[in-house]
Amino acid sequence: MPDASRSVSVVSTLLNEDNKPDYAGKIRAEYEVIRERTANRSNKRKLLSYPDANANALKLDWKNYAATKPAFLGNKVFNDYPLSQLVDYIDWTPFFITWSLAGKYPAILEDEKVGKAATDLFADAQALLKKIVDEKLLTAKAVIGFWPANKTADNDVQLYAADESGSAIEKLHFLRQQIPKEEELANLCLADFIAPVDNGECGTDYIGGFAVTTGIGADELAAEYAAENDDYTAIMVKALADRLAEAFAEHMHERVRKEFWAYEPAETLSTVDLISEKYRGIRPAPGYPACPDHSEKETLFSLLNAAEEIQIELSESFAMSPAASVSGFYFSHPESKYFSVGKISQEQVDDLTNRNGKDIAEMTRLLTPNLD
Amino acid sequence: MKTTKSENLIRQQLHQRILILDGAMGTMIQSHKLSDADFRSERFADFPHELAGNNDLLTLTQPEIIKQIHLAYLRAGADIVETNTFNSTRSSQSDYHLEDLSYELNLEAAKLARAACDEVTAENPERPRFVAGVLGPTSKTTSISPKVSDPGFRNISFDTLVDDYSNSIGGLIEGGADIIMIETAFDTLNAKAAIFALSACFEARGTSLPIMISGTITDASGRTLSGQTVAAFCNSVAHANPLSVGFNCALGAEQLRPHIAETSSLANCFVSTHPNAGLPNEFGEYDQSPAAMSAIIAEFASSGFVNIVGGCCGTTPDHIKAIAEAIEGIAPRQIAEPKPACRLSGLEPFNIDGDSLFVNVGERTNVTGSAKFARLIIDENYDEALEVALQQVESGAQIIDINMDEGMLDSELAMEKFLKLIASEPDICRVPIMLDSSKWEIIETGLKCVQGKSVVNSISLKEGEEDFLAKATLCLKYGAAVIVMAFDENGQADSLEKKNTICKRSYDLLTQKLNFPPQDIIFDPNIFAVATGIEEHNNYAVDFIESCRYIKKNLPGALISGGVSNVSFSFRGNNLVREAIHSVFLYHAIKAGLTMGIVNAGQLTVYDDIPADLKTAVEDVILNRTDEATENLMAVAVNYSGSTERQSAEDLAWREASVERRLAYALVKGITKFIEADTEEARQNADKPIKVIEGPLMKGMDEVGDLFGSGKMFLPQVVKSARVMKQAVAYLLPYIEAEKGGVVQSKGKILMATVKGDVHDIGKNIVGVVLGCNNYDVIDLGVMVPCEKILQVAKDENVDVIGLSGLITPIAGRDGTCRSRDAAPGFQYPASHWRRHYIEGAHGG
Repeated sequence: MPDASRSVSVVSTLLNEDNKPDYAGKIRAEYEVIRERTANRSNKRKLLSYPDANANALKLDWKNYAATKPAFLGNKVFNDYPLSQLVDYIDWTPFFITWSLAGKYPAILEDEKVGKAATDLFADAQALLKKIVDEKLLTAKAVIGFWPANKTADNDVQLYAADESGSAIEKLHFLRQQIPKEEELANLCLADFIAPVDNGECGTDYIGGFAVTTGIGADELAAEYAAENDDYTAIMVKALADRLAEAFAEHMHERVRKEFWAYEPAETLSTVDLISEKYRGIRPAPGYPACPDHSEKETLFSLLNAAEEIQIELSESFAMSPAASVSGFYFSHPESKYFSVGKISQEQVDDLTNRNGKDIAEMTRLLTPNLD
Repeated sequence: MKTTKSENLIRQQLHQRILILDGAMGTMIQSHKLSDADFRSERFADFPHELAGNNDLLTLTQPEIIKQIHLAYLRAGADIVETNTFNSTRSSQSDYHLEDLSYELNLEAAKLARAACDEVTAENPERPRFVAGVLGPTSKTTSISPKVSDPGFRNISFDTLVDDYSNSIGGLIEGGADIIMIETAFDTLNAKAAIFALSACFEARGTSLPIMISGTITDASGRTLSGQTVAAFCNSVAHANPLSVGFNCALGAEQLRPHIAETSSLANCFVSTHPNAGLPNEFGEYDQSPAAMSAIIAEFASSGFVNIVGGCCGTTPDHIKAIAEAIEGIAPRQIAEPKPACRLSGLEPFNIDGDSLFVNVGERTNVTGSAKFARLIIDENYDEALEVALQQVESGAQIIDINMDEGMLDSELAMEKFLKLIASEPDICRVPIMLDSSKWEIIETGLKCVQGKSVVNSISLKEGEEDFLAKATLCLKYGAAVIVMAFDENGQADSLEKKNTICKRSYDLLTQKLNFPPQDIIFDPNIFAVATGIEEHNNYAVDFIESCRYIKKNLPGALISGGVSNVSFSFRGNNLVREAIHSVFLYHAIKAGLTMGIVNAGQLTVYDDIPADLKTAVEDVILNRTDEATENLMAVAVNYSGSTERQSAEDLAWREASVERRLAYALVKGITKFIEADTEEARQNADKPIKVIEGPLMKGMDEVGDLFGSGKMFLPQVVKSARVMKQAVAYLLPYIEAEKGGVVQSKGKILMATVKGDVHDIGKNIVGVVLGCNNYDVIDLGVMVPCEKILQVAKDENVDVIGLSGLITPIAGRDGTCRSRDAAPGFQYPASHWRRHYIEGAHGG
């Protein structure tokens, strides 16, 4: 079912004895087609072998690269971050999508079909947002960290102690693209954006990490409205908390580029340009296409000491709680960009478990969507 | 066009008595129990394909047998014998790989019948016998797709059929046929291809033969296989000016009676029928006796239904003899003279005559007029494009105008595809189609796809007389009414005088040179926009209205049409004012004689409902009553700008309505301000508090549901409405519990949860709210709920549906596990599972 608005007709069709068999059958048939199509599709494109993919890694010019050292190493915690600083960084387009209104912000407000509904909704959102900010109904916290790092083996990044003693601490394990690529194009892995151990003159490189939340108090606030039979505002609270979390990640990333890592101290980008990712460097999140392995969040959270410092918990499926939270890594290399790992082979998963020491059945299950 | 001597004879005979057609050929052939070798004889002894059963081939391989069968029927009393060519078209013979034999089969079969007729006529010259050359329907369909999954597919094209039929017709005429019979037509478009072939053929020869057209009603629905009713069928083939129209085959005489009766009342030509010998028995044989069948036929005759009668499957010379004796002396049917009308058809007939009300032609399936429709066609989103057509018909459009003139499209292809898809949607194609294009080729493509009688929009004298008459002639051949624009070699008519002159010239040319029936001529004197600010335009509406008056008075029989939206073009963006302009304009134009208009069916305001000040301002403009009419209307329009549902913040007029209306209003608009007070008032009025929920509240939510479902309301508003509903219900709950007055019968119980390992619940919450207010009981277990708990609660609460929510991929496996456990014994529950996808970059988990 593509979105919530279809729920009523779907449910009533399922409950209608006459329609149900046809409907359920139709859905089963649809999924069968999709299953087959997907199965056939992946059969058609043969993946490169894992060693061949590694051989086609992205080879950046490390000899002539001078890694910028962050303004500090180790962690920094921000308690009770002012929400007012985040409001301008909000990307509103996904907000409208949450409410099943299709269109890009701000054009959606003038849209022929949904313009009026979008405008009314936006007005309600602004009013609630103002209330939340003015009355501090939500609390925002963040923790960021930077460590010396080098790429080791094919796809790992070894982090070193923040005191620069050189002692090895955690290792991050990334995945590499295995889809056959055209001439000149590499099979990417996030580890390619960090200088390798024996890189000649580049010396040590650095990597960052972050976890932010704006969801502290969201559940309680929503529950208050729900208790007053105001589900509309209750849902709105959660939707705004999500938007604020994303805005916080965006805002923090900007400060990182200009102040904390300071590899782009002179950057001046508008909100629109920020949303279009016109900056240098990336902030990929575990579970997202460039690093589909959610379990890396464990390592990240351990590095940041997130649970203790800012009270973000990880569920057994590595979902963050409060829900309105964002976490990820910081890469600063000018050539670093977002990409999708895509389909990988069991061979790579096996190798991954050798490196991260986790249970192979568990890792295979976690990476099912990526497995061929 | 010359007619033959035999046609004159036939008509003479038909005025005096009922003529007898022969009976079945196939039945008679079967009685000879022919072997495979008999079918082949020497000529086809070595033919590499199966030939047994190819009865038409017997014309060449067993001519004596065929001739004897003809003679048997003639001597039994048949006036007309049908040639043994039911399957002799190329298309039918291709089943036997003998398509190249088609011409010869038709030629020789006609010769055989001719010889038989001449022999019997010689025996009794007072009673001449006639040969009807038969064009069978073939086994292919131009209106129906044989593939259920591909409604736009066709197994034969109109053009191919025209070619095939032309080939057959050549042989039949050459072989001496007196009449051409289009028989057993189960797809009217196939019959129209035959008619087209015939008119081309006759034109080439300079002589015409009389045409008999006989359709087949396939079942109890009273329709042909391609879905047309009797009357629609008759309208669709009338342009052939047939000698007779009627029905044969599929049914016995008794079952055919009502259809013949109806045909009899409609047809302004002779009526024929040749039913089967009853309905087939369990062995597939026909066993109605000659006595039984002839009695029924005699009853037809004495009821005055028929002019030509005979038999089809299962009949023998004995049947024909009995029929001939039974109808002896009974007077033939008098040709009906239905009043003059423009008789169009889709699957159903649509007749426009002097008593008809204004006809709405739906305008929304027009790529030049609707950006939305254009987008759908360009994107090849034909499903939704069909919805637009359906919506027009459901809103009252009696004809739909289809236009595909757009640079980004292959217009011919789009027209063809859309029409073929419409042909499989009976709710749409029950109405006639108006084929709209500035290019004739596109119109012609359309004409080859539609089995009904359509309207061509349009032709004109723009390219001169010859071109005008050539296109009009094609309209006659395809069987379509035609819209004639007030446009000549000098351009579009922009004055009243020019409109009238051009229309009259067109009328005279059509009626005098082509004998074009005036009822099929529809003039469009051009509606131009008024209130443009240019003084010269101010009288445009009046010019149109006056032109209507002229046409009605001076061009008898002709109809008048106009594209109504044009007149209000100056007020694009202000729909309220536009609708008022249309309404006033139509009010006056219809009085002056406007027959039909191309409008957005379903969006016409009633004249009397227009606010007085707006109506006066509009009328001044339309009727050009004052010099400042335009300025005045622009000023008045400001008060009516915006959407038709303009709602100012202070508007409390709704508070004056009844409490039921207030509750519904509050729900639809999402207004909580007065909900408790209104709910309390309703509770006091009701005999049970539960009735407030079951009555006005549910009604309000139904209205919300309808608006949402039809895309007029969006999710945020629905959730707001749900909020109002919840508050009203919360207010009533204590009273309901105190009364122990029962529980509202919910539509079903739904269990919702975000599965263990995940915390995302916005989507789940929205669904829960929407379902809850649509009278489902929703049990929400929250987030991170383990599978076991979900299943336990589901069992304990006896839920009907389980809804699982999960965002992040790691839980995808878990969902599957949960669902497969669902399928474990004891569970019959469907599990619906949905995800919300967040698009943005870094968002944790």
